[in-house]
Amino acid sequence: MSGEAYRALADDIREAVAAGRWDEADADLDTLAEEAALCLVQDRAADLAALAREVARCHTALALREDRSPDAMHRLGQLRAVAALVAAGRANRPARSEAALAQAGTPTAAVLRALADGAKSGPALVEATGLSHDAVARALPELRAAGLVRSWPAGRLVMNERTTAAG
Amino acid sequence: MHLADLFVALRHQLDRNPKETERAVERLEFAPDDAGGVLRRLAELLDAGDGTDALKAWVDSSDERTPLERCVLAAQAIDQWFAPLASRFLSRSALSDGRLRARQWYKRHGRFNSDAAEGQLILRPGLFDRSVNIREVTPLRGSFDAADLFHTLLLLPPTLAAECPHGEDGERPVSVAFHRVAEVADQCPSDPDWAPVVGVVPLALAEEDLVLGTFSKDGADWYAATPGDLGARASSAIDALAAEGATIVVFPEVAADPATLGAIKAAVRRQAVDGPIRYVLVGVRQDGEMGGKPRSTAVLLDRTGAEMFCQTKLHCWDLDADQCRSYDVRGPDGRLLDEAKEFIAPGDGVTIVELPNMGRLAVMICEDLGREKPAAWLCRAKLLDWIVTPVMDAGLTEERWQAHAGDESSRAGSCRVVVANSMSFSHRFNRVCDADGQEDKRITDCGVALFFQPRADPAQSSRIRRLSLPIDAPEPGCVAARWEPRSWAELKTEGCP
Repeated sequence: MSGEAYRALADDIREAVAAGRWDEADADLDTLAEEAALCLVQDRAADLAALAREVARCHTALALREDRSPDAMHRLGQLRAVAALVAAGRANRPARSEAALAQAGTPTAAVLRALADGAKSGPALVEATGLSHDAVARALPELRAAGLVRSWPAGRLVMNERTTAAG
Repeated sequence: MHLADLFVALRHQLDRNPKETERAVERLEFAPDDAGGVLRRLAELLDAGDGTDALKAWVDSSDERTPLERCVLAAQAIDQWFAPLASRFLSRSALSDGRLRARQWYKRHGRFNSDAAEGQLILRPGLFDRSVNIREVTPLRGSFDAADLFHTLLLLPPTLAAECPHGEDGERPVSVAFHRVAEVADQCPSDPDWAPVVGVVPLALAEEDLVLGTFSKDGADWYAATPGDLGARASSAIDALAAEGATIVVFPEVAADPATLGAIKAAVRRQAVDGPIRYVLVGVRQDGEMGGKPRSTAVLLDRTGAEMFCQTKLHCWDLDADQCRSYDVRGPDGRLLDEAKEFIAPGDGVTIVELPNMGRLAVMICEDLGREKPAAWLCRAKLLDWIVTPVMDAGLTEERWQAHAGDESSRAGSCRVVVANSMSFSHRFNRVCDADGQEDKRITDCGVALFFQPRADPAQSSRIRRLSLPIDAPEPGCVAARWEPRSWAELKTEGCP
């Protein structure tokens, strides 16, 4: 999807609200919400970012208008709800598949391999893998979310072990 | 009892006896697999219908381990229960009814616990740490702090200690508040590849742009900095930085008066729809109420120019004899002063804001960054993404105190630090150099911004970016850089004055 198409859709919503064409505004808002849902379901990260820009731009433009009528505020609220949906979709990501995480040469695979001989703390994983602190710190949250690593605190340390799911 | 309230109660028990808590923790660290076994059972307990009551009953009546070890384990089990809420990666466990209720409460109240008088129980990681949590891969620090037992939750106390003004003995309490801003966002700070552009406007480019007045009162000499009307220059700088794609723009300490702030708001509003600027932080001199002392404040504006929050400087910058000489600070009678106290009313609170377009941010105005309290506590808690520090001083270099304090805060807090400065004090400094025949010490390339990126690896150095303007030709009067620390210089701060 092109950014221009999102810009045109958002501009149409602005114009419809400015002119008080509420049916058109509602129809376009429905299209916008539908597109946001499709981006989320299809995991189209770049499109979601472009959509976020246009929704925020449109919301800002409408918020700066003097019109505080119930009809205008109602559409502004709908736009805000779509923006919240898009922002949540961008802030939260699904973990990649087990196959992708275990692919040779990746930091996640190196961490899994280092855990094959037993549980290790974060600093011990840095030492065992030879990876940077940053790389290990990026790998662990995704491995946990994928269910391949279980972690627990032991005092101040965080221990990590492979789960049975991590074949 | 709610799970978060049980955590707060357990946390207080651990704080009551730190030595015993430390010993209990050492026993758990000695046998990590045993701790893992207990925590696995406690997690199952929490996922059951009456989890909180069952956990409390286990803490109160079980004969397993010592009472303090049970407190640690129970609190850690709660900390783990909240963990899916602090991760960028979605997991099935985040989808329980209980966690939905917890998220709802957190968004409504900015805390998980019921009673604000106990403090605010918040997610410890800022937005950056939701995908890259450096804390769990860095070696343990030498000193024990019970807060380090918990990676997900942090109990922000209602007050922290701050130093009393003008070297008076003792400490004073300042309030602490966490404020989660709900706004429409198009930036994604939790994406590790997100790289904002940070702009700085020194604004006071000449000595007379920031007048340093002095007077005697109550047997002491005082100074007060008063900015001129710089609204037109500020507006032009906003336009220039918008053209450069700035995400956030920072103005230095007391560089603006209320009229200039008004002009900045109008300029930001003009850029609101199509421009890139999401936030503007302005150092503003606010007149005192009823003839009282003025305040040095920093006002945060959103993309429409509306005020979001205001932070007041907590600590005064009192000048000693050397500083008075370096900056030619004289009394009304022309006498060079031995000491000059800053004539401001110090603030009585710290606000931490979580901005959807930027991350979690605290403002520490000039002296507040260098003081031990409360800055050190906030850094040690490792809950911030950004510290932004407007200052009023001579040109910033990689050797002066701001570099040392910025690096310390960035490393201790595992957060990014931005320092923004004006140029008036550099002109004062140069005037003294000229009078003393020390032209070689003149500031020509005037540092107006320092950016600090914390090191991820303790064996490495932090990264620094210094932005400057020629002191004799500072136009266009603003600087900006994208946050790309891989290309920045390594910082060596050993021996900084």
